[in-house]
Amino acid sequence: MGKLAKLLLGLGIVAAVVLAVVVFRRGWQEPTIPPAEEPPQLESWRQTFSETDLDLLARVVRAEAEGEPYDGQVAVAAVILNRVKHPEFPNTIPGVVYEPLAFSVVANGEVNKPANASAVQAAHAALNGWDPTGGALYFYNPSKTRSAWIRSRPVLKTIGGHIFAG
Amino acid sequence: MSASAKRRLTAIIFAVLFLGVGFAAGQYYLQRTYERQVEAAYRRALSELATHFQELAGEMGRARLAVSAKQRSLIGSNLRRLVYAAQSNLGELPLGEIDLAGVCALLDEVYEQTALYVQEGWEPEALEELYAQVQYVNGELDNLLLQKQQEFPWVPWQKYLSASVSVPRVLEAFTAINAGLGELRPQAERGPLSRGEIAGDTIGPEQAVQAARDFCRQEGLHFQVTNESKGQIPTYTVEAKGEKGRIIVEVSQKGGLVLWMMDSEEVPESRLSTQEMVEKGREFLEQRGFPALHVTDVQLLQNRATLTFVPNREGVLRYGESVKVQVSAADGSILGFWGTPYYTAQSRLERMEYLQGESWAVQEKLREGLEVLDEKLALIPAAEQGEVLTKRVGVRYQDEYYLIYLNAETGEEEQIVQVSSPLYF
Repeated sequence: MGKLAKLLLGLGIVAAVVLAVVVFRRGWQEPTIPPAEEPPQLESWRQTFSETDLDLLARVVRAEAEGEPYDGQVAVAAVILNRVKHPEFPNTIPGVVYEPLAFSVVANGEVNKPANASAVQAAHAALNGWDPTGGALYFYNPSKTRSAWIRSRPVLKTIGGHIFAG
Repeated sequence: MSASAKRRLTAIIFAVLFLGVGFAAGQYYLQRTYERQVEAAYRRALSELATHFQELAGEMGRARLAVSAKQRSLIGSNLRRLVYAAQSNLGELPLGEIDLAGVCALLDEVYEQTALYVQEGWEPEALEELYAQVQYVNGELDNLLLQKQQEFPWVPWQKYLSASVSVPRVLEAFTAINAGLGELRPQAERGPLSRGEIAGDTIGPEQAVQAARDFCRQEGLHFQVTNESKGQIPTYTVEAKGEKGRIIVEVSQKGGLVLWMMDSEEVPESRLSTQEMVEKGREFLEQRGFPALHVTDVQLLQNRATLTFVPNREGVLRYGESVKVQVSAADGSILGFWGTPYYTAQSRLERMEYLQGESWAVQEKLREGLEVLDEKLALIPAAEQGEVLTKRVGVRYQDEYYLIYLNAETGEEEQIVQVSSPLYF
């Protein structure tokens, strides 16, 4: 019993030291900078939105809907733009995206990764008016959310893994 | 030491170790959460600041051309609003990030000069100087934002740990205030150009498939209904798998109209000129029964052109009935169509009335120094009247190009829009 206790104590100390080192190192670790990508190159005759808005919207689309069908990606961007036009939400794209508790991808930092080509195209389509949702203000993944409130919203459409609600 | 004492000691050491590890992990999680909240707040402030400066630059560009009291008053209100918004964003930014003293002074100056501008007391030279400075800041902010989007994080969280933070309580308070506000009707419902309804007989899924097939006119595609939308306009979603991507067509349940179409195909190269793509888009729409169309916007992105057309009915461009198409720069195929505004405007055509303008010379209504390159009649959306008939004048001013929409009755400016070239006047 005495040997076993010493062994356990030794293992515990080693594990604790390793964990502490890992935790502290990760706390001060230099963050991984995603590979730089060219920002979307948009040529527009009559400028109706900025490239920075397009880029931000595309990054949210990538973070929220990577792997979703193209219309599902356009739909996510359309929800953000529907919120911009709605009086109960901020009236700019950054305002809607960075609204506290609005998007989990902002809270976990996923939104800071660069967008891919499909997301940029989807964001651009939404900025030009395409709205596959029919005016949705919310979307959620039914397998990931437990919020009774969001589930109570009237469902307008299901695209891929997301439900779009008004 | 007895065996039982050793066991007690071992248990105590283990408990302390686990508590220590748990505390460290908890601290780490809280620090990360806080870091991200700070990060998101700063990104929002800077992004909004860039947006507001861009709008400020656009508004000042228009201010240089406006003559009528109505337009000057409108632009003055917008300038004040944008200055307030930009100042608010500045207050939320870490001051060490960029040199803000000059920017603050610039915003103060724009605000002070706005009052003079509305009373027509603003010197044109002063306006030009401020416009150039705002454009400079706008460009710099855009660059800064694009650079910053590649960096993570912006602010070392260690610097903020000493601050007393009660974010959840503040958020709860704001949520409560927000919830206490009375519900406002969405802008789209208040405006005169709210979406009309689509009339017609209700169709079934088979007719929706037929409508999609007739619209796309591509051999070998097997269309099927995959979804139904219960939005403002009930629709069927019809899909087919093309050679290079999925084609999605949305058909209204009333009237069986194709409201929009999307093709997810990626376009790897560009072979066609912009003019060729415009012609392909126009041809596509005319083959599907759309009236004579005038192109009002062209956007090029990732080898796709997104084209906006408006109908030209009896010599008047109808901006409220716009149609958009996306054209592949590789082969001219149509990759997208957006016709909802066109179809929903149809129900309002009968009750639309407009005045033919009195005869006045365009040059009389414009400020000096503008070179008029083009004139057309256009019916444009307007906040109060629903739609207003205008003379749409394409002008050049100091190597910049603008479209000025003059009220056909009064000659006052209704809108001033900057464009990149005179190509689509």
